[in-house]
Order: sequence, then C-alpha cells, then structure tokens
Amino acid sequence: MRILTYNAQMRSALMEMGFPPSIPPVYTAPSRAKLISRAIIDSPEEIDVVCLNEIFDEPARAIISGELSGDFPFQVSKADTFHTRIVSPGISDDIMEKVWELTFGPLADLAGLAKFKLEDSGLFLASKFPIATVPTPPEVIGLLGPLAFPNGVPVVRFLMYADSSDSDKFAAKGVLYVRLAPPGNDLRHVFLSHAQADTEAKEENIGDRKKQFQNVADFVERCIGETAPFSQEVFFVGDLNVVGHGEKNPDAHPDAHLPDPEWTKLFGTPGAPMFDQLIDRWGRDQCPGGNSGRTDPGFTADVVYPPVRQRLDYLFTSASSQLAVQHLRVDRELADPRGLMPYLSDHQPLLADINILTPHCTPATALVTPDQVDFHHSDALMEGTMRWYRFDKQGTYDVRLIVDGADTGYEIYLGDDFSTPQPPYREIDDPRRGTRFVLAAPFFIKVFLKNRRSEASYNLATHRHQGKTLADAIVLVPGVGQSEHFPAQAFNSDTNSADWDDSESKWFVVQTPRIPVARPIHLALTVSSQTEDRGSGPIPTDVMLSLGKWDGNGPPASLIDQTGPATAPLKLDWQASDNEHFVVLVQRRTGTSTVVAFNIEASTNLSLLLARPSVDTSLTCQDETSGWGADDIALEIRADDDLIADIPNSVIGDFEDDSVRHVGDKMQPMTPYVEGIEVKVIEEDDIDDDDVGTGAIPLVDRAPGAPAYTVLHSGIDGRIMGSLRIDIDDGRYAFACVISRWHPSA
Amino acid sequence: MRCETTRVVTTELLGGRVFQIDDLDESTLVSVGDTALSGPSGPSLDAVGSVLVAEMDLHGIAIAEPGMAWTRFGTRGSGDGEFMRPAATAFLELARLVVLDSGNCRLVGMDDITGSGWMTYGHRGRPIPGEPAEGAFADPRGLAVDTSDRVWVSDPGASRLIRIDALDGSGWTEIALPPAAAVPIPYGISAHRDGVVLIDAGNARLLIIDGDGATSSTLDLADGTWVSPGFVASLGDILVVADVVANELRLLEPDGRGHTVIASLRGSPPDLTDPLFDSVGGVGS
Repeated sequence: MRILTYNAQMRSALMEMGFPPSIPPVYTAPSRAKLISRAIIDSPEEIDVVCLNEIFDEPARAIISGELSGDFPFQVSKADTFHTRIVSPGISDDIMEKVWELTFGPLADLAGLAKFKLEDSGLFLASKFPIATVPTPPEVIGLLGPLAFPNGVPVVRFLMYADSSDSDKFAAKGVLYVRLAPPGNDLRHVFLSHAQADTEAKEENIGDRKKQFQNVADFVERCIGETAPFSQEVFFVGDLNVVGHGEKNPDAHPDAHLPDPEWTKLFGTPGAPMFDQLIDRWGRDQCPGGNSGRTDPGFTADVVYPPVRQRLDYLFTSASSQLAVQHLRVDRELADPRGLMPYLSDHQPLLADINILTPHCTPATALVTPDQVDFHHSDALMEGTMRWYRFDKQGTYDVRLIVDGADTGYEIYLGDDFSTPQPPYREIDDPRRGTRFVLAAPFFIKVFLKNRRSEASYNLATHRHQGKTLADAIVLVPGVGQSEHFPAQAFNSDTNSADWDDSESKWFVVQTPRIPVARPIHLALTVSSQTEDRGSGPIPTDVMLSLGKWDGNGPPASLIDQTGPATAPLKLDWQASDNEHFVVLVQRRTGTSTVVAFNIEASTNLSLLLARPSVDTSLTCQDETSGWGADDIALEIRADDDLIADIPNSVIGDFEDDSVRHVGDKMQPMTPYVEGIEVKVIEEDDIDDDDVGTGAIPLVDRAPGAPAYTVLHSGIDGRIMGSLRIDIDDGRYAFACVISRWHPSA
Repeated sequence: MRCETTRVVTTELLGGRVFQIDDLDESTLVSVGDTALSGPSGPSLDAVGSVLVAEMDLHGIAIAEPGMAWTRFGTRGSGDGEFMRPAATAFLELARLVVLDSGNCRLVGMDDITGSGWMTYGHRGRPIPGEPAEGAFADPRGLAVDTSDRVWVSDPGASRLIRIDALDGSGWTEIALPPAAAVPIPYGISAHRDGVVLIDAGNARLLIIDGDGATSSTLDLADGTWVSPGFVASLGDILVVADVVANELRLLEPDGRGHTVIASLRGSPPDLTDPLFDSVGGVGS
C-alpha cells in the first residue's frame, strides 16, 4: 500500500481575502488543484491512498474529487462540523453528523465547537480501496428511511478538536478516521489530521497541539476498539505542525538544562501521546539521525520563522505493526510546478511505501555490505517487496543489476537524502561493469519491482573503483578528501594509458562541468599524510604526484605537470575551462612489499547552484512590506554578473506574509559560478520607484558564516542547503537553495 | 429604541449575486436583478430602491430598478465610457451616478447608466513629503457621498482619506486620521450623519468622522470577535459591518458608550452545505 500525505494549501477565496482585505484575492486554488490531481494520477509510483490537508476551497475540492474519482473512487471529500461528504459508488452525499452519532455513538458538543467555525477541516481522503461498512442501525433507517445505506454505513468519523487558536480556531480542525478494506487484506485504519499551526515562532502553540494529539490517541483507541499494542494496522498522517527531529540526534535530547523540543515531548518520549502506540516512521525508523547513517532531515515545508525549513508532515504507524514502511520519501517531483504555476503548495508531499515485513526491506534493516571491492547478492522480489543494501565506503562505483522476471529497477540514495535518487556519473554505462556512480557514504541501494504486481529474481553486483587503470579510476569530488592505500603487493604496471611511467600508480579523475562556464576554473590537488608501514607503524614515505590531460573517452593521457617524489604534502594547481578531463596519478616509490597510504583531495573555485529538485529553490515572504496590498514581486538572479533568472511578477505572483513560491523550475537545472550569486527581489511600484533588496549566495567554501546566509543542511556529499535573508524596504524575504562544488550530472 | 427597517444591499464578489436584506433577517434576503454579475462590488442604493454596483471583473457598472433586470454600462479601458476594475459606486443628489474607477485612479460622474454627462476627476499618484499630490489616488477602494453631496474616497494605497466638495475636485481635503499603532489602511466607507463611517483595516477599528473631518468616535474591532472587517454601511445610527473572511454581516446599534452587535447573518454557516451568500464584495445603503 502506498499512502501520500500532502498539505496542498487550497485556501478558499474567502481565506485569501485575508487581512487587510486585498481585492482581487491571490486565488489560484482551482488551477493548482488540477495540476496536483494530475500529478497524483500520473505518479510513476502508483498511489493507493491520498490524504490531503487544507482543501478548504470548494471549487478546488470539486476539481480534486472529480479528477481523482476514476482512480480513487472511494473518497471522504469533506469533513465539516455537522456533515461529512462521502463520494463512492452508490453514495455521494453530505452525511449529517446524526448518522454517525447513531451508528458509532456521540463524540462531543458539536454545536459548541462549531460556533466560530468559518471553514471546514480541510481534510480530504481518496482511496483505491473501499471504505469498510457496518450494518445500518435501525435508528438510521428510522431517520433516513429504509433505502438509506443499503450496503451498510461507511466507517468514517470526524472528531473536531476542542483546542485551537490563532486563525486555526476559525477552521473545523480535527482528525478524520476512515476504515479501509483492501481486497484480500486486513483492514487499514487511517487517521488524517492537520494540527494547530504556529504563526510567529516555533512551538508557540505547543499547548494546543499536545491536547490535540491526546485527542487523537484517545480517538484512535475508540475507533479501532482496542488499546495499545494494537493488533490492527493503524496509520496516522498529515501536517502535524511539529518540527521533526531524528530520535538519535543530539538536538532531540539536549542537555539537562535545556528543555526537550516539542517532537521529543510528543513523539519521542515513553509515555508521550504518540510514542508507545504509534511511531513516527521518519524520525524513529527510517531517519533517526545521530550516528545511524540515516540522517535525512526530511524537510517538507518552508516557514517564516526559524528554522525556515522544517519537517512538518508525518506518517505514523502502529508500533506493533506487522507491516514495514519500506520507503518514506518527500515526493518533490509531485510538488514541482513545472513552470506552469508559481507554486503548487507551500508544503511538499510525503509518500510511504508499505508492505509486508521481509528481510532488508527498509533502510533501517538494509543489508550492510562488507567492505570489499566487489559485492554480489542475489534475491527475489514479489508483490511489491523491495530490498535495501547499505554501503559505508564512499567512492566511485559501477552498479549492475541482472534480472530474471518482471521489470526490476534500483535507485541509490545518500544517507542524508532518501528522497532524491542519485544520478549516474556523467551517464557512463560500462557494458561489462554497469552504470557508474560517484557516491558519498553511507549510501543505500534500493532494488524494487517496477510493477508491484509481479515478481522477479535478480543479482546485484557492485564494484568499487581501486584506481588500477584509467577505466578503474577514482573520481575526485572537489572538497571531499579521500584516504587511499596501495596494498602490500604489486598494484599495477606501466601501461600505454599515460605517456609517462604509470606503474605502481593510483588513477584518479578530475573533470570540469560539461555545462558552459564563462570564467576560468581553478583546480588544485593536495596529497598528504603519505606513509608506509613496514610492520612497526606508519612512517613518512615518498610518493609522486602527476597530472595528465585526456580526451574524456579513452587513453592516452598526456603529462602536463608533476611533483615529487616527496614525503611532504604535494600540491599541484592549474587552470581549466569547462568540459576538460584530467587524470591524476599517485605513484608509490618504495616497492610493493609494504602498504602505502595517503590522503588526496581536489579543490576548486567553482560552485554550482542546483535548481533541481525545483522545489528546493524557493522564495518566501517572511514579512511583507508595510502599506496597502500584497507585494508585487519580481525576482532577478545573477551568477557572476550574468542574468540567469528573470522572473517577472506576472510569473512569480504577488506575495503576502507566508507566501512561498518555487522558482527552481524557472531556471536552468545547474548554474556554475566562481564569484557569487546575486539575488535581487524587486517590489514593483507603479507610482514610486521600485523597492529593491539584494543578497549574495556565497561560494560553497564561504557558506558557513556568510552574511545573511544560514546553512540549513550540510550534505554528506558536500552540498549545502541554505537560506539567504533579503531585506526589502521594511519587509523581509528568504531565498532558499542548494549549492555544491560538484554534481554527478554536471 | 430602533423602529425603522434597516435595508442594505450586499454583493457576492465571487458568486456574482447581489442581495438586499432587511434587519439582517435571513427570511428577507432577496436577490436583486435578473442574473449574477461578474465581481460585483461597492453597491449603493438610492431613495427609490434602485441598486447600483461596480462590476470589477467586467470593468463596468450595472443598475437595477426595483424588481427589474440589470442594465449594464462600460467596457475595459481608460477612456470615456471605460473603466478599469471599478470598486465602488454612489448616488449624488438628483440621481447622478458616481463610480470609483479604481484601476484608473479616478472618479467618474454620469447623469445616468447610459454614460451621458461623462466626467472624470483624479489621476494616479501618491503624496510625498512636501507634495500633497492633490487630485491623486494610489489605489482608491471606498466611496461615499455625504448629506452635503460631498464625495469621500478611501485610498488605502496612499493610506489616506480624501474629501472633495464636487466632482471637479474643488475643496480637496485630506482628512487626518487619529494616530494608531499601525499605518492606517482606510478601506470600507459609508456616509454617516453629516460625515462618514470608515473602517481602518490596518488597525482593525471603525472611525466615525464628522462632516468637518474630525473623528468623533472609534470602535475597536480587534476584540477577537472579528476576523477581517472590511465594509460598512450606515442607516441613521445603525451600522452594518461586513467581515469578509468570516463572510458575515453584523448589525451594530449605539449603546451610549459605542456600538453593540445586535444581529448578525453569516453567509456560510457551518450547518449549511449551500451558503446563503458565498462572499461579500461590499455593503451599501
């Protein structure tokens, strides 16, 4: 079963009129509803259950319901104070609360809770699986007549929260329960909520949320008719507005003199409302952080207060579940506006692949591969199962999957990004060894059936480059040091691959991006800590460092510089342009009977602005400029003074407080720069001069501590996700993006 | 003791319908005209019950005599007979029509719905220190005609309230608003006694302003019971305030110290699946 949970931000036109009222309202919900619906239907991974938040807008609701009805015929399209709308074959109606009350018993003082509600709950569930039913009670037949619910009353219930505040108190916030009956499987109890939001600061409304989650915990037990540990499969999803943590991260359990964060209090402590019965599958299973090697922060939303990117969207399953959450990922492709809209939502969807528990079917239970150059493993997959393999050594890998049976694929994820499959290195595909990847560690390979309803057996083979030949060369990633060694035996001999003596040499490769780079690229190499071990511990030893140039296709390489032999650090630097290819050879000079170890690192003045996945690049209005109406924003981005994005107001749209626009889809996937990126936010004014705010995205090397720049996440592969603060007049904007020195596709 | 009937007209900005209602009594809610309009806004009501509205999305105006169909006028543009997202309307004495042509930052006067006697006043601009920008509007939204036939314009774009004696711009006066915590955003406005009643959306307050421009009383709308009050209409001492996000009309009566809400009508109450009205694009009296 695959569940998608997505806060789609379909605010109604009334809500968009806002305060102060702006006419015409910034109202795009119906257009976005159409795009989101199509993206769900066209998802490469077939989705079974769609859980949406913030479907407040009626036209958008009708569009989503209609668009999804073919693939997802069983829907609860609206949960409101006094009625819940069921759309399914045989029923398409607003079912009054009295029906639910007569069938399942009373819940709360609805009239009292509904008093100030201006909007419904915004909850929407659409399913491929039928909704379970119970026999229609005589009281309901007495109320509605004998033709009411001939096939039984759908098991659906909505509990409105008694505690909410700020603007949330005007919506019927609550938790929706839908009991699904997948054919041939046990019941699935799905609970969907959108918990109390914060508006000005993290955890400002923790009190309301704590009460809401206690409501949910009690409601779950009531609806499924048992207390924890549950024997049934329970799922709790939605935008819970709690800043997510990994349970093994130090910040989840700070020093005694600091209070635990909200996540720990509510989800990460024994006895907490959501700890013993339900498990946050991101923070306590797939990505617990700490030294687990699974450290993806899982950001799902941009917000206006620190931290400006947060994990707010969750999937919980019962702690005693007999199912495995095989893969939980932020589906950034689904959230990509693809140039058609300024954005689809201020959140990103979370997609969970859930199946029966099998060996090595999750990242947490991945088969940990041994530290060896070549690895092979055979296994079989059936009915949607998958296998995960964990590799703890960085390097250049060739990966090959041989399949017998249905179409089977593999994807590779870094331990700090389980949502973005790693692309091959320069699309190199060796017919004998497989597809080449350059990977930081730990990384994980997922092997899966492309069609869930099939089966196959496979053999996965990986080879880690040792640098024995040009074809086996190790790709040097700028800024990422590597420790290498020669074994205590002959390593290789002189070949014609280089026009100098390449015997007993380790081969490395440095290649500049294939995309045009207008400025000279400075490259440098350092070899250090070269030691030899003759049995009494490491002692300094001589090595030679050589730099050659080749055509990128095959040998030979021509020598262009050389240094050493020496025991001291060896350095070479040179200048290059785009799409050039260099080999680097480290040659040992002390025979083949001892182990010789050394460190090597490449560096460059080049940085890349990475605009894919496109939703990683965003502009957020943290504080609208004062005065009447929304900010009429235009955005200009320059790399080394060259204009790379010129996004007019007609494309990016007007901004008010909290507005988020995705802009990665409106520029090239990768932009190289050697000086900096200037981001200019222009508030266009049709009467006075425009207000202009600018900020600078630094080079990767200078990112930590750069003015107005906050590092949100430092990737294990050297990429940096950061946020640039841009003041404009008396307003404040944040431009978030990812920069790196390198990218395997570049 | 209130005894007269309070009749107001209100528009659905989204759904396009125009209604009249007495005493905010749901049973008296009736639709005006023969069809839905396109973004109706800024309604006004004359002495014989004719209803005039601006049609923002069609860049025109429409008038309906009691029980009759709409008669429409205007096309998109900035010339004669043309409007750009007009926001509000009013009747002058002798039944002349006034339209706040917001997108063109001007007032338009006409003898009748045919456009005869077309005249305009105003241009785009806003004051800067030392330059009061007389005759300029930045983003005018509210329009009222007081008992002396003077025209008042709320201009949230310039954060100011303007009064002129006539449509030729004579007597241009910028009305000083009482200081507040935030920049004033004068928005909904209605003639009230010999002056106007104004909603300052920037400070969530309602200001009663005398004919001479002095603020005689202030009503706090930031007491937690309002979400986004935007429009106001006056009927003698009685006020009707529209909360646009709550989609609700509220009737306020003087209570000696200020005003008290004595009745309300929500357009989309939680127990109804089909709203009475789906939004508010203005109220008029």
